[in-house]
Amino acid sequence: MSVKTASLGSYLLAYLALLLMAGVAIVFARAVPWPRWDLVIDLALATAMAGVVLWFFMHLAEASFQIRLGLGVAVSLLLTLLLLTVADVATRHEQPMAPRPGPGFGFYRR
Amino acid sequence: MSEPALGEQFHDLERQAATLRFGMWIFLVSEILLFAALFTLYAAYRTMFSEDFREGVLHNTFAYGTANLFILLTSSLTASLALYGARRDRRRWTGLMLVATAALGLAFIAVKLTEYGKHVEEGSTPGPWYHYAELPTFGGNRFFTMYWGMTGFHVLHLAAGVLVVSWMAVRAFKGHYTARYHVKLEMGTLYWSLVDLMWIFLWTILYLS
Repeated sequence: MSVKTASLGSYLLAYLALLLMAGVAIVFARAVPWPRWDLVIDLALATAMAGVVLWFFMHLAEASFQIRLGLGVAVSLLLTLLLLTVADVATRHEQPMAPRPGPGFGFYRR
Repeated sequence: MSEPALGEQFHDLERQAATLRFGMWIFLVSEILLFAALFTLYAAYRTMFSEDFREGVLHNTFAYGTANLFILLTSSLTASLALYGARRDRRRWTGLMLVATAALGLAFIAVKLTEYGKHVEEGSTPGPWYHYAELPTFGGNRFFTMYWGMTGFHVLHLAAGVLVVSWMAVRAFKGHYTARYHVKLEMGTLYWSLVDLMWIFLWTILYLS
C-alpha cells in the first residue's frame, strides 16, 4: 500500500501546537476582558485546533482530492446553515415568543 | 499474522483500501452534519438568550471540561501513534498505543459522569427537571438542556469509540495490522479523532465563552 507516512516529530509538534492553542484560548476567555469578541476569538482558535487535528491526526495531508472536496462541501453546508439561522434569529424585527415554562414554574425570573 | 482479505470486487488491496477510506470519510461527513443540527439549535438559542448563555458558560464546570479536552487531545496523539506503529510493522507498539487510547477514553467518560453527578446535585439538569438556583432563568434552562443534549450525544459516540479501539487493540496484538495493509485501523483512528474534534468545539461553546 503506497501511502506517504507522517513522521513522529510531526505528530508531537501537532500535539504541542494543540496544547498551546488551548492555553491561549483559556487565557483569552478568562483573563482578557473583551466580552464582545471573546467568543469569536475562541471559535477562531477552535477552528485552528480542528484544522491541526484534521491535517495531522486525521491525515488530511495524505488524503485524496475527493476526500478533501467532500469535507469542504460538508463544512460549507454547516457554515451556511449556522449563518442563515443566526442571521434569521438576530434580524427579526420582532423576536418570536420564547417558549413558555410550564404551569407552576414560578421558579424562573423571566 | 493473517493475510488481508481481498473483496471479489477489487483488483488489489490498494484499491480496496482507497474505497474503504473514502467510505469512512463519507460516514464522518454525515456525522459532522448530524452534529450540525445540534450546533445550529445552540446558535439559535444563544442568539435569543445571549446573556443567559454567557452566564451559563460562567456557571459551568470549566475544570472538568478542560481536563477532558486535554484527555482527548492526548488520546488523538496515541491513536495516531498506533497508526505510526502499524505502518512500521511494530505490532506491540500499535497494540499498546490503542490500549492507551481506550484508557484515555474511559478516563474521559469517568470525568464526564462525575461532572453529570455534580450537575444533578446542583439542579442544572435538562428541561423540566431544571432547578439551578444560581441561574433561575428560562435561558439558563435552555443552556443546560443544550449542554446535556450535546455532551450526552458526544459521550455516546465516545463510548462507541472505546469499544472500537479496544477491539482494534486485540486485533493489533494478534498482528492483523501490517505495514502492507492497515486501512481498518486507519478508519478507527479517523473516527476517534473526529470525536476529539467535536469536543474542541463543544468545549469552546459550553465551557469557555
